[in-house]
This record gives sequence, structure tokens and C-alpha cells, in this order.
Amino acid sequence: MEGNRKATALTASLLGIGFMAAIDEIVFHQVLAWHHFVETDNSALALASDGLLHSLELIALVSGAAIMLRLHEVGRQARGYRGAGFLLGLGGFQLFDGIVDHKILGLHQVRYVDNLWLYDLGWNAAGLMLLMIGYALLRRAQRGEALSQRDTTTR
Amino acid sequence: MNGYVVVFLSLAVSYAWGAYRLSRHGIGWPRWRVISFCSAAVAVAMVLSPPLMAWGHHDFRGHMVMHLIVGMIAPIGLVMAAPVTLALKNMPAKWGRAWVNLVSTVPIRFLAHPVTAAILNVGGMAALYLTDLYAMMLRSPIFASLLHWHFVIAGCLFTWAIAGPDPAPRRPSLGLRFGVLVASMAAHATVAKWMVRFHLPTALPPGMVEHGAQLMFYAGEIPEALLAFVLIRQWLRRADGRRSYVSSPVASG
Repeated sequence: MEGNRKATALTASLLGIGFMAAIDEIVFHQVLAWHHFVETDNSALALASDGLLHSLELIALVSGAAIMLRLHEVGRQARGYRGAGFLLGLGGFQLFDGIVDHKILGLHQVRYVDNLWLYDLGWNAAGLMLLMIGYALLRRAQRGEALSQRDTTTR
Repeated sequence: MNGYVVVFLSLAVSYAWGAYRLSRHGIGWPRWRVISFCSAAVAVAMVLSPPLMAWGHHDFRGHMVMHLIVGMIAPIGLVMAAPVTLALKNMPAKWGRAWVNLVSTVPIRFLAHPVTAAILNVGGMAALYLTDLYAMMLRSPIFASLLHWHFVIAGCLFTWAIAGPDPAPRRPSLGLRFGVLVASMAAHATVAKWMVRFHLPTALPPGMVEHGAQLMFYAGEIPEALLAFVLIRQWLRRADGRRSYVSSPVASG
């Protein structure tokens, strides 16, 4: 049975985006409190863009879950593309957050300390690494060599 | 006891009675809908009963919990239980035609349009927290009471306009409804952030605003996510009906 590769990879990356955004909020905002709900010098517009981004993250998680559930119901999930898409989503969001949110929009920084560049480097390098692993997995799935593609009798 | 308690408890009893009447005539009605409607109506009655109202009056967190239940969570339980469909099944057919005629009229279609409903819902909330209306509500019990009705009705109108199961002819497209939902989610999150940044409502001490706004931001996501999930499921099901390649029979599990 052929799964829908493109739909599976895209849906999994939607889930990855939403998942990484949730990790960012839970770990860095709430547990570590490195940066805050609102920084005191935020402009009204920056906060509105933050609100929009936040809603899009939630929508990514919810629609990813709904579409993945649907693909499962109709038996169209493509093996090997779920993990690859998920990691691409995780890394893509991490890098986007590190470059657009932190540097271009200036919503907040990773941590308010000296040597911020070290934190930025760590943040973006982690995102890049996740992206690279996701890409490698995607290539492997395209070659038909993903672990989940080896045994065709189980799912 | 007050007006809300009487109204919402009678709504719960009528709904349960309507479902019971149908089952006595051998017509099935999903049990989850009865549970959903009755628990939502009881929740509104409880939250708007005098002791909890007093809590919300002097504690902003209390106010916010009430706002979330009355304006966002309970409307989903009420509207998704399809109360109009249940009522019409219990009535002669001419009432069904009367309902269709009513919701086809221009004023109702305007009012129940997703954009209007979203403006009434999120706009009402923004007006309350970002202006001096909040202080006015603390001073005037009559205004406060009108405001609670506004939150319940606007919440139900919004839920129905976005993803309500009750019959409505000529609904706007799913794409438009999805867009309106995302825009109102963003507006909700933005209002919460603005409240913290600009210390609004001014009638409150800053620490309290922060707690209330964070509650609004994080807890408000649960009903929003639920509504989005329901809408996307409707969308996917409709898309499957049109595109044969997704719904084609599956050879192996």
C-alpha cells in the first residue's frame, strides 16, 4: 500500500513545529524562566506579532494532529516520512525562532546575560543539527532504506 | 440563586427532557451530547452563582477563570450538543421551517457571520480589559450582569458561526471560518500580552493583572485548540468526500 509521502512529511513537520514551540515555552519560559511572557521594552506591534506566532504554533500542533489522525484512519501514512518530517519541523522552528524572533523581531533573547552570542550559537546550532538529521532521514526514506520501510509485514 | 442559575439549570433540564422524549419514541440521541450540554449549563450556573461571582469581583484571577468558563469553554459544550436540532426534533415540522426562515433573514445572517461573531466576542473582551469599562463593571452591578450575558451569548454565537452542528443555510466557506478562528486566537493572545505590557485594566494592581493575563493566555488555548480540532476534522471529512484518492479503499492495514 502506497502512503502519501508528501502529506505525511508535511503533516509530521507541522507537528514538529508545534512541538518545538511548546518545548520552548515550557522549558525556557516557564521552567528556567530565562526569558519572560513580556519583556518590559516590547512594543505593541512586536507583542501582536508574538501573539500571532503563538496562535500559528498552536494551529500547527492541532492541525498536524488532526491530519495525521485522518491519514492514519484512511491508511495513507507513508513509512519513513513521519520521523524525517518531524525532525525537519523541530529544527526548522528552532532556527526560525533563533533568527527571526530573537534577532530580527527582537521579541526576546535566549538569556539575559553577558556573552549572549554563545547562547545564540548554541540555540541555532541545535536547530541546524536537527534540520540536518531530518534531511538525512528524509533522503534515507526516499531511497527506501528507512528502518520502518524494511519490514513490510508490520506497521 | 439568581437569574443565571434559574435560566441555565432550566436549560439543562429541558435538554435532558428533550433527549428522554426522543428515546421514548425510539429515536436515538447521542449520550455524549446530553452530558456535554448539561455539564456546560451546570458549569455556567455554578460560575455565575452569587458566591463565585463575589470571588471574581475582588480577585482578577477569579474573574478570569469565570470569563474562560462562561465565554469560551461552556459555549463549546452547549453549541456542540446541537440544542436547536434536538428542540426541532421534539417539535412539529412547521417549527423547523420557521427556524430555517429565521436564520435565513438578513439581520440574523449578518449577526451569525463568523466575522461579526468574532468582533462581538474578541472585541467585547478587548474593550473590557483595555479601556475603563472594567472599572465601570466593578462599580455597576447592572452593567456587570449585562456583560456576563454578553460573554455567554457572544461565546455561543462565535462557536456556532465557526463550527456549530446546528442547521444554518448558506454558511461561509470553511476556509473563511478557519481564518477567522486563527485571527481571533491571535487577537486573544495579543490582548493578554498588551494587558501585561501596559498594565491594563488600570483599576487593578499590576501583579494581579499579570496573573490574570497569563491565565487568559495559557488556559484560553484549551478551548481554542478544541474548536480548531473540531473545525479541521469537519474540513478533512468534507475533503475526503470530494477527493477519491484519499478515501479509496485500503488494501492492507
